[in-house]
Amino acid sequence: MHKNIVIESKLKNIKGVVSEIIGLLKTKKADESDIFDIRLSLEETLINAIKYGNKFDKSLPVSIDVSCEENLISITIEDKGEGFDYKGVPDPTEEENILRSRGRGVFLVKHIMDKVEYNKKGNRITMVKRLKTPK
Amino acid sequence: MQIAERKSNDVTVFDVDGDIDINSSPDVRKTFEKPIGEKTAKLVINLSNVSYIDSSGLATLVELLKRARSYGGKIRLSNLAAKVKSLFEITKLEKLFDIYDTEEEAVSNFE
Repeated sequence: MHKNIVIESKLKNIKGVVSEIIGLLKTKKADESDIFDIRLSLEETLINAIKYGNKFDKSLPVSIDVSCEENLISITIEDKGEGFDYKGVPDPTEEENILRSRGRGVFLVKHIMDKVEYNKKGNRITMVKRLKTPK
Repeated sequence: MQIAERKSNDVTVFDVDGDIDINSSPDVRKTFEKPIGEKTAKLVINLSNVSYIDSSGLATLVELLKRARSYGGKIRLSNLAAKVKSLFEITKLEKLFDIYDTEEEAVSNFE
């Protein structure tokens, strides 16, 4: 299964995208824990793309590319922004950062997905997760 | 998302029902304006009906904790679903918050 979705940079568009992809996973009888992780990763990265990437510029699209083959799902999110310094994100678990309001989204995605990669510019993220075998 | 407030002895318990995410976080902050503004000392947030939380939700809870601590107040969390709890573990917020399995435990030994 392969799907490409393009949305305008509005936060209210996130729900539809997530529902569509989660709906596909449910038809594959995906594990609830995997669905939670994928939902969270999708929402966190889409919020970042719209908010920090495209800076809420409605004229700029966000592209979502999803491939799901057997027990592997790959999701690529790309915005039209200048990219962000993903290597420079402070570790939110460090004592000096633990009380900060920001910086947990990307950190969580890295932990709950099996593989996370950015392009060099930092405006495209690819996340891969191996799905548990349906019961 | 809805939040109901009730008293259990001298502890104020908040029952949250629904997702705590970027959409509902402003409502969570608004709900806690009054108890935190009034410097309520003992607060328990019962998360038994919260099956999803995102980084905005976590940040909102951290913000509430900081504000409560500023006047010597305490916030405890109870009844976290396994996946919600796992996010507290990954982010190490479990060290920051007092987390209890049940509301009874959270309420009972408040000093």
